[in-house]
Amino acid sequence: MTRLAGRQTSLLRRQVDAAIREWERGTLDRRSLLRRAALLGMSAPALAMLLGRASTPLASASALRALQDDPAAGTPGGTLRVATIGEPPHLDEHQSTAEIIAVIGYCAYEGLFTYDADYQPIPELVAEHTVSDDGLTHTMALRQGVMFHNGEPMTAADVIASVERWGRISGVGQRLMEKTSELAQVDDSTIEFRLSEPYGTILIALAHNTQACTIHPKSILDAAGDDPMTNADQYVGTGPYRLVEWQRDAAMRFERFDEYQSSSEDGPLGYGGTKYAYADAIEFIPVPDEAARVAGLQAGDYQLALDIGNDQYAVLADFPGVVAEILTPTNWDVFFLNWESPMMGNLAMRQAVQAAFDHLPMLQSGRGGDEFIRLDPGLMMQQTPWWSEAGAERYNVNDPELARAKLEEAGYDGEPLRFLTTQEYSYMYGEAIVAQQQLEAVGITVDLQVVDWATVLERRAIPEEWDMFGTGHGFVPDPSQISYVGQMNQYPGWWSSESSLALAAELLAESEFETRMPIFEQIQEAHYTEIPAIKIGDSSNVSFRSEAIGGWDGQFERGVKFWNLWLNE
Amino acid sequence: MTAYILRRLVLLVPVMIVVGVVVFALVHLTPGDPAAVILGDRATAEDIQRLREQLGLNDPLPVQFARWFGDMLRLDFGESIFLGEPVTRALLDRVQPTALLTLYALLIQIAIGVPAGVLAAVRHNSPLDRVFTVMAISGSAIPTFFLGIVLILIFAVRLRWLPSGGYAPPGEGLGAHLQSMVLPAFALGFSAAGLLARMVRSSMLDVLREDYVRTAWAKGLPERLIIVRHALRNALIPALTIIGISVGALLGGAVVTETVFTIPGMGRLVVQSIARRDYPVIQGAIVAIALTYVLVNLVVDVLYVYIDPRVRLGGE
Repeated sequence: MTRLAGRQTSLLRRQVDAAIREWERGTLDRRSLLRRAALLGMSAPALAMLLGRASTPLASASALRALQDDPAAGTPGGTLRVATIGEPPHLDEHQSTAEIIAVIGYCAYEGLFTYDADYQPIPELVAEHTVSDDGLTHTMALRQGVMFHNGEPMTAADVIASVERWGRISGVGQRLMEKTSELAQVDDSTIEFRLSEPYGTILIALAHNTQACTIHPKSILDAAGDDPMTNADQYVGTGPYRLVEWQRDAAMRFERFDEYQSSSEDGPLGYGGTKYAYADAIEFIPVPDEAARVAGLQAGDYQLALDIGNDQYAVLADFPGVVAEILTPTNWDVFFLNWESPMMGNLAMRQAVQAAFDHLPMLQSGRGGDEFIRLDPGLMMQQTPWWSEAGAERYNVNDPELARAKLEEAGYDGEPLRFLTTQEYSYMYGEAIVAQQQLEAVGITVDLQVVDWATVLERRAIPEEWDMFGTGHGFVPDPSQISYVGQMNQYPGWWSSESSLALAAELLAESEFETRMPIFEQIQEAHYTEIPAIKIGDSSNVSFRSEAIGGWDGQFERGVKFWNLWLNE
Repeated sequence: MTAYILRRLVLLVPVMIVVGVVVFALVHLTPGDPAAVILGDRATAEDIQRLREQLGLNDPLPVQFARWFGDMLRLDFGESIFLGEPVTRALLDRVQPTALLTLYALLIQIAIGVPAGVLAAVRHNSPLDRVFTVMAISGSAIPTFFLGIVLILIFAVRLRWLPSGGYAPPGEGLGAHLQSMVLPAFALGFSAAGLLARMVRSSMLDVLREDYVRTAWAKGLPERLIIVRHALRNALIPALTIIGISVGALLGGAVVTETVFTIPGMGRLVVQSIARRDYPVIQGAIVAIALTYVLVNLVVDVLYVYIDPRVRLGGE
């Protein structure tokens, strides 16, 4: 689907297309492309956006990145003000899967590994990593001279205390520790994971940034124990910014950490490599009201506003001083079916639901205009090497006749299907309303239960309370991190076919992409035949930011790299 | 008088007990789990169970109620589940913005409402009266959040005269403080001024028809003196009731206004705590707001005595 952003005339579009083709063939250099775009009246971000839309996903990702500002050419100084939808409960990474903790925590915390530009794990606090031939011993030499924000140097003891705490608290950590017979300190700056069986996803587990294995001083962790750290002076890491003040519900202020050392001086490598820390300070201001976030961005009170709905795109796209850039799709929306409920425990019933849905109107209702949505059967996004069309013939079936036949086969007696949704997230509600109509059109009675999000979270954990609920899934770099693949029979819906559980275990154990890809494709296939959930489709977010921001680099899926942004003027 | 005030203060106890029971019941009977909110979307059931146990949420409700109520009597509202600090401190940290916002809004309400009501009554049935009536009705009809957004769009986005939100405490400079409070206080005060203007207008009209006012005219007193000293003072008694009730309404309106203008006050704390299911904070804040409301009404009742010598309190 080519998705140009509305207003361009066809002539302009042809000229841009021609320029992009030249660029892709390599006959046009970056500067000439930018100059030609400027003649056509387009800003660099708008052009980057078109590039991202027009070409193949992987080509566009690299093209896009090549088009960005030179990351080393920033101007230091100033305070970067970011408006967020709310504030995190705490900044204890080990404790919560909340995205907002991960996004803000990235400024201050680092782990042993992080992601490069293609979402492969690369060392961050580790200098060198070696694996024994049997795959059971992972030796990690730590970087020397790394300092914590509280002035202590980082040692192997800190790393072990951090990994152990994370391994007790987080789900990903617990699974890794189950396979770890010993986590040993070899010397002051070397640690060793000694595994009981090979664990292919160890580096991915250590690199992931939600409920991340971040490294903190042992002294702080010992004092905190396994309870959430709630005191601002406990939030100590090794990152380029340190937390200096947290006024609850008002602002969180980070300042540049002068003793910060990047893992490399050769420029940024995805979420690792050089971290420039251009801004003197970064402030995160919770602004729960969307209209207030938009107005603050327009008024210049904030340089970045997060979590703004796509319907504001039309308002902000032409507003002077504001950049509104449609990003590559990263989220996907999904309905979960409850395998433990008498109704959805029945495969024919799940097939009826699958057949009843026409996905496009659901996405349009939930996510807005066509420029923000994409029909795609893949459980992994197109910007990862994991994208696959396995099972696609059962995606977006839209066959009411088949649905009715399956209902008959299931012996459906008109019992209401309990569908949990919330208006707190407008996309969930918008999609649920259309789903209700489509289900009723084939003869399923729907009991739409509209509650607030906290209630959805509570009820969906109780198998007796629901048959179906809708939610969104954020970008994940590895298929083992898809909520209901990694935690298959624990995630609400409780997908528990033996064959799929075996495949999921295999996916975790293997380490080579070539071995794991066919396993993942079988899981995706099973997703469409066993139907633990219905993937509706992908959606794009829009980046809303001030034109004064430099250094935006197009890799945003795991959070904005605030440390490489600078303020022009 | 002192006896009356003391008796009213003693009566506070049963009122607050009722408030406490209702708040506790409402908050705890609402579905939703603070542990699930704190741990995030992908937390496992075991994690949630572990945290619930830690937070004491697995105890039977009567036990939780007795614990909370006993602590409350000692003015200890417990510890916030989400903020990790005592509720009393969380509330005290946020009292200032809310109190000042309510105060400024009240001043704006009086500054607009009283003169508008008086002028409308004095120029009864004139075009000026009609203009004020339309303004008063629209003031009451336009929701605060809508007026707030419109004000932001005009004064922050277009003209760039004032900040779009945020709060600067008076300690950091009076100029910045007033700048941050102008729009929210006006949004809140303007909406409330309409009702006050209508009330002042109608009671002024009643008073202006009284014999003593006619006498004052007959004596040849200047118009200013008649209206301000003779009529307004008597017309203000019903208006005072409205102002007293307005404090409650303004505190309630502050919830919305603080959200739109990003002011870290008690109102926003309540809204966010509801979404987070932070039970102790919701309970503590509502008890505190209810207490304020009851006390303000007591003050209004006492003020009657000073404005109207005919009023005698409590069978003295």
